[in-house]
Amino acid sequence: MRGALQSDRRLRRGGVRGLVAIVAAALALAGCGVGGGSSEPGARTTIRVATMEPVGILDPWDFVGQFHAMDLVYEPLIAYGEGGALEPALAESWDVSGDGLTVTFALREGVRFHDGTDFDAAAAKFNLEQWVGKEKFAFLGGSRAISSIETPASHTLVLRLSAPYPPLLQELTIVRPVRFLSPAAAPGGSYREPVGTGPWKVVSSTDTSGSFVRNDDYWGPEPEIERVEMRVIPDSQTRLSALRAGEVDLIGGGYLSPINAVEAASIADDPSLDLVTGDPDTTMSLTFNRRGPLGERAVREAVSLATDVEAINDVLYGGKEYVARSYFPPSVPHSGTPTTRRYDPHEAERVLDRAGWTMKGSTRAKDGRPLRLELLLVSDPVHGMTDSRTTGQALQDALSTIGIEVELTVVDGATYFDQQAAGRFDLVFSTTYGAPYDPANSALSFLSSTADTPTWSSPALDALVDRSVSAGDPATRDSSYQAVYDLLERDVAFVPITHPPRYYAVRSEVDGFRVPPHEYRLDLTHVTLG
Amino acid sequence: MVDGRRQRALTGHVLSAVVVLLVLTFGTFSLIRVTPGSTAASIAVRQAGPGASQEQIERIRHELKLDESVVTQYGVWLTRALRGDLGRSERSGRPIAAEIGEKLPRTVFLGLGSALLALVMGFGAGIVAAVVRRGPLPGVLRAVALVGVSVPTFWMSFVVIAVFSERLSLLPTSGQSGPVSWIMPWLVLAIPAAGTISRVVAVSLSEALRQQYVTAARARGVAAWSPTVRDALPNAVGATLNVTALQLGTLLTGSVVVETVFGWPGVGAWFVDSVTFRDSGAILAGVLVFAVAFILLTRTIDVVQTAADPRLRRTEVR
Repeated sequence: MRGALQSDRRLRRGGVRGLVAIVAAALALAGCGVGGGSSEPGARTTIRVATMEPVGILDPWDFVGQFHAMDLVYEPLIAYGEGGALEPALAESWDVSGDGLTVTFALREGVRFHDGTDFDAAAAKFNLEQWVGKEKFAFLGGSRAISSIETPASHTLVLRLSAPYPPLLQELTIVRPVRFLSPAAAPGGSYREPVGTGPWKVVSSTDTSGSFVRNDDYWGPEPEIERVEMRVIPDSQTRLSALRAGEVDLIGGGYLSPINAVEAASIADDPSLDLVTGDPDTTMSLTFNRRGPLGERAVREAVSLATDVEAINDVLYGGKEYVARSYFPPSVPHSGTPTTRRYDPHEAERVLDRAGWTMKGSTRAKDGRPLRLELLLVSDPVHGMTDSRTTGQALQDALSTIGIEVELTVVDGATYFDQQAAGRFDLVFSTTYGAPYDPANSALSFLSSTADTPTWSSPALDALVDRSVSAGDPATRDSSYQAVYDLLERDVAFVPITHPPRYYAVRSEVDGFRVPPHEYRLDLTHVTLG
Repeated sequence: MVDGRRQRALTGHVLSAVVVLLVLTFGTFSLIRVTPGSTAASIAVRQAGPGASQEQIERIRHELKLDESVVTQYGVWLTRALRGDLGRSERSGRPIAAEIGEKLPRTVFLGLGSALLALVMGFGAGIVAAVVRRGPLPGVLRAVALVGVSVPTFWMSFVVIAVFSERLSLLPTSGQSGPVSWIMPWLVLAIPAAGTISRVVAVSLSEALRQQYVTAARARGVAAWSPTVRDALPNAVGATLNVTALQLGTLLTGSVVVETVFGWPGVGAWFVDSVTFRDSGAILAGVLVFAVAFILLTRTIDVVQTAADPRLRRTEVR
């Protein structure tokens, strides 16, 4: 109907536009019953969110459902707050025993799943049993650490650990598999339907859309709006157009419907849209493969000295506000103090000269071996990854001025992961996992010799990472992690490049949207539509 | 006698199609295996979220039977496929046959709509260009056709979205919310094919119009349009059928871009996603679907061509 009314107005202007309008109007009238209703702007108790992927199967114990839909429906025991603060969610409080081997949760009373089932210790135990000790979830430290689950009272849950595992509490804030499904919705432990305790209930989901309605029996602060309509738009340019055309109200988020820096700049210029930028939670660094010339500290130091990080950030974001100076951005717990790394290409040349890498034509060489490095880049950055091809070219230019030849190898995502795992590269950009996983997950996956693809490892670093991850009290964790960062800096183990900003965009009539504490969340509690 | 020959020809067609499909699927199967980038790593890294470990990758590899020989794997796949079981998508966790059943009709719908549009626009513009020989119109039509053929589909998509959705608010950017949402995808997909078809029609029709039978008809006092439609056009159609068929084939490949840009959840976009994800079962199923579609299309065109051109019929009988 809307198309018809508008085209009626347009018709008076005549010309080609009028002709198009006639066709559009005729088709709109013909197809009134088929659809179009969802794009009607009349009902403003519904927020329309663009997503790049369908909602999918919301099985909390599988890896296929969309993170944000799961976050709307399912809740954890503990929530990840700003800066990594652990906040009560389905657990009102918790207590870790002095030896670190027992964690006792006081579960919130009066919480019900969407189907009316009580959330109690038995329901919690049933859920934990689906992933604790299961091989499928062995990548979670908690799955290996928990040795028994006890329910001494109706709302008391006790986890006994085989060894102290301090990151457990933070691990319980992630989206899957640790959140809670109604036991009635998974007879015998096999998932049937998405029934959680969260502020939103699933109405329907297809491969083009998802509908959620407010849970009016929610235990926590009730959202202002009544419905969430997700619309699947795989293409990022089209998502932005849909936002501009008023078909959706919200886009953004690294895993929801990513916005790149160029798109962000054009959103900032558009008066009908608001760009909402969150504090970065990840770091993109340049990392080294030591099986090659970069095994030599002097070469790494030269690369670091010759990399003009500020210029790269200028190209990436038109400014320097996201320049990285540390292994983790400041919003990550225990992120420590910034490194003292500086940009000094002349010093870089002196370092290489001293190490015996001398100029031969335009490239340096030592013992007849030219200083040639392969930089591995990904051609189709998957969600959460910064497109690093321009950064790669900038680096190539910068290093050529000091006599290091950089060859850019651009491959697709799946190949990229394989080559990285196989160590077929000299230089590669590596991005930390971000909230709510860090610092423990990135430390264990990138800085430990037991990981698949560590970006750096040494016996000394292993010991420090172990100490950091297993430290029970925050002060010890702080000092241990700082020791990790100091060691990395001494070894010139990485070059911090950028802390990618977290972009979201809303139409200006959307009020109260705040960037969630991490990229797997979709918090619409305080959102209103003017 | 004639029946027997027909039956043999039909059996030949079916046999050759089966051989093509077998070779194609086995080739794809082997290619997936030698292509760098494993499904297991992709799934582990992208789906399990951070912290995917080597054990987890190995577990997925084993679950997917990726640790067995390529012939064994192909044998397993083939026997299942023959029973109609194309396996489960590693990406969505759903049966592939069900996903295709859902998505294929949408792609067919997209293809049919734009094929119709391409034929109408192509023949319309072609006939006009051949009949109207004076003034600037033929030149303009030629230029428009050239632009239509040359402009990349994805760029044209963004231009029409910017104009009709953002500026004029006439059409929805994407999705499938009734006929208004079909216009842009149909149009964008149809334009390059229409451009080519219009030129071929224009050229072969104006050639036909120069033939003596047209002049003769005119001399007999028949209305100017009548020989064009009744005599010249059927002659021109024969020549354009081949090109038209080829263009309709490109609609299949063009659907990949159009489906992604316009959020049209058909097999095209799904197939590309599957490749990115190294979802081998889905890639195979996609290849199968596209191959069958191409075979059906070319066979249909053969039949239509034989029906349209009596000379072809004669050579077949002989």
